[in-house]
Amino acid sequence: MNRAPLIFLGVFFAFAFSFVGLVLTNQITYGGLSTHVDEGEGKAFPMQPSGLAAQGKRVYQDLGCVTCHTQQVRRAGFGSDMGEKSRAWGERQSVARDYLREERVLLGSMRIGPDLRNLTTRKNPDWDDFSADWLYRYLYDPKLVMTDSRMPRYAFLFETRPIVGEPSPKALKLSGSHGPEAGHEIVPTDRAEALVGYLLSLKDTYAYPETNNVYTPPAPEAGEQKEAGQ
Amino acid sequence: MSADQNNHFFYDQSDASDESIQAVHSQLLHQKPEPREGYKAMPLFLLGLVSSMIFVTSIYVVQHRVGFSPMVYDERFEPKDTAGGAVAELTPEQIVAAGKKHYTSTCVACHQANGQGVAGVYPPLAGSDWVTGNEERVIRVLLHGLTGPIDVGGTTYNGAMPAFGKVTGGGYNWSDEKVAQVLTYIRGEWGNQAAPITKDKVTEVLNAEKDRGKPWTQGELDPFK
Amino acid sequence: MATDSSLTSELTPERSAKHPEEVSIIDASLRTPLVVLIGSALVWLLIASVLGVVSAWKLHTPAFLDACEFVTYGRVQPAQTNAFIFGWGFNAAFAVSLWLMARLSRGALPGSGVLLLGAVFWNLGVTLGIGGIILGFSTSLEWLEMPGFATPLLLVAYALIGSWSLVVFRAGRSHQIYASQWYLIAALFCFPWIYSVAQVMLVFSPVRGTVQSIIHAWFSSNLFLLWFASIGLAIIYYFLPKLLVKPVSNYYLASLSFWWLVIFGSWAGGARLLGGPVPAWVQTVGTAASFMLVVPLVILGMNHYGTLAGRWSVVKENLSLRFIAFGIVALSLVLVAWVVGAIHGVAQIIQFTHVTTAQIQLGLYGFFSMVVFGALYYIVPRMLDTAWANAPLTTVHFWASALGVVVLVGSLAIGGVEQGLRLADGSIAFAAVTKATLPYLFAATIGFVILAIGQLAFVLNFFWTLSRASAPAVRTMKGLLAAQPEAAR
Repeated sequence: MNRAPLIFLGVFFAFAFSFVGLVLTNQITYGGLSTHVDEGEGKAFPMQPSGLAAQGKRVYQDLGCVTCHTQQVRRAGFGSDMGEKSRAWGERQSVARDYLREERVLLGSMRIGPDLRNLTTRKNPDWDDFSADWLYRYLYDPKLVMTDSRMPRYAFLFETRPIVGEPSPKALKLSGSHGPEAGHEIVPTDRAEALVGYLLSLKDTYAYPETNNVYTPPAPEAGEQKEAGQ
Repeated sequence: MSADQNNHFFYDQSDASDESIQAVHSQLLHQKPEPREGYKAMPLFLLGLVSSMIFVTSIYVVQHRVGFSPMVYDERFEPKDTAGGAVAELTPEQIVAAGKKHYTSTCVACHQANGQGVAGVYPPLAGSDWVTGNEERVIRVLLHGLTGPIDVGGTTYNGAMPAFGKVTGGGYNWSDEKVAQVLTYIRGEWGNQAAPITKDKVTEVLNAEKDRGKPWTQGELDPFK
Repeated sequence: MATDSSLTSELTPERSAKHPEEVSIIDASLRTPLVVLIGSALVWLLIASVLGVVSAWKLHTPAFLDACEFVTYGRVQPAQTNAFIFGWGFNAAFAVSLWLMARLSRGALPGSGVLLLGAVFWNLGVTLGIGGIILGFSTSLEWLEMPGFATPLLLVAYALIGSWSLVVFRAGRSHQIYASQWYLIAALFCFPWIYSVAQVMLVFSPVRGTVQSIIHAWFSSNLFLLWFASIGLAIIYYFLPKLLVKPVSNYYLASLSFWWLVIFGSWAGGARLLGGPVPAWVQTVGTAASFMLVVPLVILGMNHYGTLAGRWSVVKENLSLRFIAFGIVALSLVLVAWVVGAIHGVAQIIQFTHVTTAQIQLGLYGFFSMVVFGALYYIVPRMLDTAWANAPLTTVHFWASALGVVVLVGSLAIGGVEQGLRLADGSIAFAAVTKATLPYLFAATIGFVILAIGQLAFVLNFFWTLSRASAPAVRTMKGLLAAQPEAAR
C-alpha cells in the first residue's frame, strides 16, 4: 500500500466496476424500455400525460412535495401499501414501466404524508367527495376538509380578489368564517390548477405483463410471510 | 477540563510526529503483532468472518437474482418457463372480455352489436354454423378474409371480409392471440355455444396456410366444413 | 496495553522529529486557504443550523411560516440539507483533507491562488444552488436538489481544489503512504465521478424511467459511504495514533477494510430501493453489498477501539479526541444500522420513516461533523499560531453537539420505528400515524436547537480566535509564548 499508482488504479477500477455494474448495466438492459402497446385498446401505456399535468409536475417539483410524499407502491406483504388489510395505496406493485413518461422520476424517500402514486383511485372513507374541488379546498387549507390533517396550508397558490361581474366558476366554495370577505372570491392560480391537474392524473391501474411477475406464496407459507412482516 | 488544548497550548510537541506515524505504520502494515495470547485467534476469526460473509452473500445473490431480469420486481418470484417471458395466462373471462373489446372496436361496424349483420351484405354471426361449426374454417375466414357470394342459413350474402391475421395483404395484422380472443367471444355470444379457440390453434392454421396471399371463397372452404 | 508497549516507543514525539521546523512551515503555507475554507464552512454551518430548527419546527407545527412560499417545508428542508452537506461538509472536508494531505506527505503548499479561486467558485456555486432551491428551481432529487445552473461551478471548483490536493501529495517528501492518505485519495476520486454521472444522467440529459432512481441511490450511498466516511476515516486514522502516541492496533488489517469498503460499499446503494420499482436483482445485490459492510465494521472497530483501549483517560482530557471518539462510536452505529436496514423485514418497517433521517443525521452529524470538529480543534490553533480564544465555549460546543446529536437521532429513531410499525398496520388511519410521531418530532426540534447553540458557540469561538490571530502582536512564536497566560484564561 505504499505505491501511489496501485491505490489510484485500485480505486479507479472499484468505482468503474460499480458504475458499469449498477449504472450502465441497468441503462442498457432497460433504459430503452418501450411503452406497452395494447392492441385491444389501441393505446400505448403508460399514456402521455396531459399538458396541464406536465406543468403541474413542475409545480410539484419546485414546491418540494417529494420531501414528504413518495410515489411508489411496494408489493403486497412488503409494508402495508397494497394487498389484504393494507392502506390500499394501489391495486398492484409499481413497476419500472409506470415511470417511463416521466422526465424526472420522483419515487421519494419519506412518507411524512401518504403515498400519492394512485391518488385518484384511492378509496378512503374521508374522501367521499374526492374531486378537483376537494383538492383545491385541501390545498387552500387542509383542515377544512380533513380536520386531523398535518399538512401545511398552500394558501399562497390561491388569490383573493374582488368579484367583478359574475363570480368565477372556479372560486372555492368555502362556508362561514373560512370564506373571503363579502364581495371577494378565492380562486386558484394557474399553478394551483396545474398542480391539481397533475395530482388528478396520478393513476397506475393498467396491468402490464410484468405486473404479474410476483411471488405467490403457497398457502401454509402465507401465514409465515405475514408474521415475518410484522 | 476541556481547556486542555489551551493549557498545553499548541506548541506542546508531545504528539506523535507525522514522520514517525508514517514510518511505524509502514512497517506495521506488513507485520502482524508479535505472537501472544489472542494473536492466533484473531486472524482465524477474521478469516472465518470474511469467508462466511462471501459465502452467505453469494448464496443470497444467486437465490434471489431472478435471472437478472429488468422486468421482475419481486426477488422471490420464480419464473415458470425458462424463456423468462413470464406472461401470465388470462382467465377464460378475461379472454372473452378482451374478445368483446376487439369485436366492439372493429367487427361491430359490419356484423352489428347484436351479431345479426346486414341483410344481403354482411351475414349474421348469431346462430351461424360458419361461426359455431368447424374451427378450422372460421379461423381461415378471419385470418385471410372471404370474398364472393356465400350461403349462411339458406340466405346468400355477397360482401367482402378483409383479412385480419398476420398475412400478406392483410391490413390489420392482428396477433394470433387477438384472433383467438375475438373468435372465442363470438362463439359464445348471442346464444352461440361453441368451444373456445386457442391461440395455438390459430398459429397452427396460420402456419398451415402461410403461402396463401388472397381471401377465401366459399368453394375453397368447403373441405373445412 | 502490554501488546503495543514495544511499538509505542517507536512513535516519536514531534519535538524530537528530524525536521521540527517542517510542520510550522507546512501549517503556515496552508493558512490563507484554510482560513477561507473553514470560515465559509462555519458560516454555512450556522445557516444550516438555523434552517434545521425552522424545518424541524414546521414538521410538528405546520402552520409555522406557512404563508410564505419560500419557506415551505419542501424548500427549507432541502436547503438545510444542501447547506449542511455542500456548504459545511465539503468546505470543512476540503480544509481538513488539504491539511492532512500536506502534513502526511510532508510538503508545503506551493501557492494558494488556485485553492482560493476554487473556494470562491465552490461557495458561489453553493450559494446559487441554495438560492435556487429557495426560489423554486429545485430538481427534487434528494441531495442533488441544487439546480443545473449551479452545479457545473461546483465541479470546476472541486477540480481546482482536488488537483491541488494531489499536487501536495506528489510534492511531499514522504515516500510512505499512510491509511489516511488512502482514504483521502479514494474520496478525491469518488466525488467527481459520482457527481458528474448524477448531473449528466439525472439533471442535464435524464435517462428514462427508474434507471434514474438507481443512479440516484448509487450517488447518495456513495456520497456517504465513500466520500463522507472516507474523509472521516482519514481523520480518525491520523489523529488516533498522533494524539495517543500509540500505533493503530491491528494496522495490518486496515488495507483489507479499505479495499473492502471501496469495492463493496460502492454497490450498497440498491438497498435503499427495497420493494421499489427497480429490478429485483438490483435490490438483491444492494442487500448483499450492504451485508458485506460487516467486514469493514469489524476491522475498523478492531483498529479504532483497539487503539483507544486503555487510553480513555487521555480521551477524557483531550478535546479533539473526545469529538473523534464520539464520531467513532457513531460510525459503528451507522454501519450497524446500514446492515440491519438492508434486511427486508426491517426495511419494510423503517423505509420512508423518520428512521431514515435519524440514520442520515447520525452519519453526517454524529460521525462526520464530530470527527471534523475534533480535527479543527487541533488544526486551527496550529494554523493560526494561537490558542482558542475561549475555553468555556469549547466546552459548550462539545456538550451541546453530543447532547444534540443524541436527542435528535434518538427521538427520530424511536419515533420513526413507532411511525413505521403504525404505517405497517393498515387499520390505523394515516392521520393517527402522524399524530403519534408529534412528541418525537418536538423532541427532534429540541435536538436541533441544542445543536444550533453548540454550533453558535463554535463559530463565535473560531472568529474570535481568528480576530486575535490577526493582531500583529501575536504573529510570532515569541509573541505567542508571552501571550499564553492570558490565552489560557
